Amino acid sequence: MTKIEALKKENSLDTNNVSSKDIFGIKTDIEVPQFINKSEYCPLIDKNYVFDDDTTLAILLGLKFNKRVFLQGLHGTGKSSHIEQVCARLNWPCVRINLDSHVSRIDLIGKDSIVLKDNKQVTEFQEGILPWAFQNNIALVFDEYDAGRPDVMFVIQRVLETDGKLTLLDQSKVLSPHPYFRIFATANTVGLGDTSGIYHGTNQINQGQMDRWNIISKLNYLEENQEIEIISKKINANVEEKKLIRSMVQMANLSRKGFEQKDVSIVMSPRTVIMWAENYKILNDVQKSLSLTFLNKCDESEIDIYKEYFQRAFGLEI
Amino acid sequence: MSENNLSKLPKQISNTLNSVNKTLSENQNLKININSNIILEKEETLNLPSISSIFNFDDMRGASDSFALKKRYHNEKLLNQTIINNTDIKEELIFLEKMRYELYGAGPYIGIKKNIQKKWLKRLEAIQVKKQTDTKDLLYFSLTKFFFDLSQENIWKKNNKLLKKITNKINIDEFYDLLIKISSDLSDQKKFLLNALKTLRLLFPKNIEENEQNDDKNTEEGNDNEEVKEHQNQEESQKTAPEDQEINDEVHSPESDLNNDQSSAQGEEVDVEITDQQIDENYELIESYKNLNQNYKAATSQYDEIIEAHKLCDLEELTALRKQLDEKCDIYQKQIARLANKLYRKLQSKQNRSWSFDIDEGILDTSKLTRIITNSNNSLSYKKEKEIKFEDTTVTLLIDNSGSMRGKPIMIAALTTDMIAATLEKCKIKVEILGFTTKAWKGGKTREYWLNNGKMKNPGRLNDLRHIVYKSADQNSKKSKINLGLMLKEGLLKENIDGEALLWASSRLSKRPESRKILIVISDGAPVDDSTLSVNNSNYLEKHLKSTILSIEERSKIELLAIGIGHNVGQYYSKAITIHDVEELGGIMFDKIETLFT
Repeated sequence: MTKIEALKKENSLDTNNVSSKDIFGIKTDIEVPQFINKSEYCPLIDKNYVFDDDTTLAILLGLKFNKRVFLQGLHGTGKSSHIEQVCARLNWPCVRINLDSHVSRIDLIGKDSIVLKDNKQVTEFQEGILPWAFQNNIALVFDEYDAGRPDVMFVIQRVLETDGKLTLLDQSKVLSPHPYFRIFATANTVGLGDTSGIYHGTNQINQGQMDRWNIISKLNYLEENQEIEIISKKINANVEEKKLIRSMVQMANLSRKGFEQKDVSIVMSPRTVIMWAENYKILNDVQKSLSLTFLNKCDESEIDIYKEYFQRAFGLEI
Repeated sequence: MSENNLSKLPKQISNTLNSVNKTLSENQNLKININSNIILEKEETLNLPSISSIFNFDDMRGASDSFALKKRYHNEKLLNQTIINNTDIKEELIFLEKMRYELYGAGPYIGIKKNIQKKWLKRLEAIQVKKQTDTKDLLYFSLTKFFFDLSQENIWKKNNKLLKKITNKINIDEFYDLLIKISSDLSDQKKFLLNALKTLRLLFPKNIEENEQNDDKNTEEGNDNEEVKEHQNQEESQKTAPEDQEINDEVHSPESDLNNDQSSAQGEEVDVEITDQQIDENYELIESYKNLNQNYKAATSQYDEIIEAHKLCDLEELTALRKQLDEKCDIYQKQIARLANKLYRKLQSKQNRSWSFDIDEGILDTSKLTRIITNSNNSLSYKKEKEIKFEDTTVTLLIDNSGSMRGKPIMIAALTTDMIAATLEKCKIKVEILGFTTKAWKGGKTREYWLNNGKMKNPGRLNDLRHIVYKSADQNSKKSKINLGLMLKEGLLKENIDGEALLWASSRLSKRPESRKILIVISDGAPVDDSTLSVNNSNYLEKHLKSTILSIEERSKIELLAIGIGHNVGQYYSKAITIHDVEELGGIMFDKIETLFT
């Protein structure tokens, strides 16, 4: 892990209160703190981002009231990007960590490493990401929370409690959390293991740990019109293209229903539809761009079904 | 329409369409059969004719989409409430309601709309061909045309010719207004029906309707008897196009009795009856079974054989048979392969891949290298991916190789077991495939032996057993694949003595080191061996089977499960499934395996 510089605390703590309705265009209006200064860890703002009411509200509650927020959703629904975009607009520094099964305790907590000091090699304790984020106004996002190794997850357990202090055994140090330190997690399952058979490599999450999450929000698929809007904005669609996008989303929705009924085993995520639309812009051919984006990765025996879905949505043969 | 659809087999098409249907209607119980002469909608089953010159794939799509929309947007109760008081215009009401849910449901989907429009166009053509002399046809024609134009966002003007034709001049304004009114809100079935009723009543006033119709028709057909005319209308509409038939079917469908899908429901009933019976029997006979088991014997077992499949047939023939199996089962293969993939994914997702760290050998754990530099006393640290013992399990599939299984059942059984073996093997689950039959039809050498040795009374089993090992648990499924071809060999399938086969399979299974043992029996009938039964009690083999099952279920760790093809195995086994169509075998097997492991 590279050396992470501490943020300048003096400047970054000033906040304004802003209205959630104005900034995110969601129905609920609450006042949320916005940092005046942007730090280098603030994500970039995506102007065309469309916020989902419930998810945004959950994230805002987490940020405002210091709640631990767990976002569950099928792949490609924009769980992580939601957190990023909310943080971006509030100038809140946000760091994402992928909790794959190789992330170990020392990665999170810190370890001794060799540094050069006065041209001499010396070893020095290097804080991991957790103690660092813990002492700064960072929104720490654990992606793929359900893929983490059970033993590593217990490291996180302590900091999940609001006001929980973090003890660094290696350094005999006890750390107190920064008042603007926040934790989020995203996962495809709710910690009960994979019931659908499409998320290979996910673990069951210890319920003692799940219990520590204050807010659990679900973001599965979006409403048809909302999805159309997101994609249209993403590719700057004109009127003609918008019609096509409607059909694309219809096809995606058919595939999602088909998946629920176990007729097909691969769903078209919103991300797939965006890629499809983008590829369409390049190729100007709906069928071809669909093949390249999606059909080619489908189970051979299910392609007929997808082709029928396509016919229903577009009225065209593929 | 796409050419490639023509070459597909009905089963494939119906599977595909059915998947779409279930999705569109959000109803998982829908079924499509391609086997009838006309389009027939019956509860949750849609019967379709196969593709021909007059009924192409587009028509099929239209019919299947219409069915899905009906299931999603149509409420039969509401319709019946309206019909009860207005039986004289029942057909027209049903027709209008059909137009409603078709158009409303198709709404946002370009493709569905297209399919429905094609269907309507076909109806229009069919009526046009007959020349519109009949008022009813004219009405249907006009209304179809009206909704067709509506679907293209082309609303009729008041001076439309067809409109003038179907109304008499007095009520044209009122009729037009009502027509626009009903077409403006298609989402609300109740309101729609109310307005539709009003509209139709303009054309066919209640009670005096008969006079009206007579008036209309006098000029054309003279004073025909009304009933005869009704009858004619119906006959004609049946001839016209398959679609028109549907309108009537919802209320009365004589052909529906031929529909084979109801058999499954019947089967279940039978199941229940016999299970009750079985319980009683069990209480009474548990003791006698145990005794019976001791009574069961074979005249001699010296002629029995346990043989590996490849020894029964030379390699060349076996290869040819296997090829034959693959060719004949081309359609099912795809379906089964899909199920196999699904099962594989399901099982895989249950496995947790994990690493162990801080061990003395394995891959160097680079993230901990600094430890050695900081303190040379620290040892190198290694990591290793954990070997997962997924399920410490052996599954034995015991297949009835009796003569009655010949043809499709044995082929599908062979194919399914093959796929299951391959799938489970990938997940490190051991699979054994066994078959049982007899060497001869009429007792073979065992009977000869008995005859030569004084024809003792109560000789017991009187035939040479043949127990075949298609795949042993430790064999690789790729190697054993070819063996399954043997099941197709002419003259292999003979009698079935289930009891002893079960004993053999379970004894093999109980010797396996794996801790979980599952035995799945696939059979299509009660144990039968003419030679044995001719000299013993008629239920001799059956009793032995029952006692064997009881002892396995009660006294061993083996999980016993039976699948009966067209034969109720529930009377023998406590865990049993009966299927009536052998084509369901693949689905059921994979389903069961899935539930066993998840």
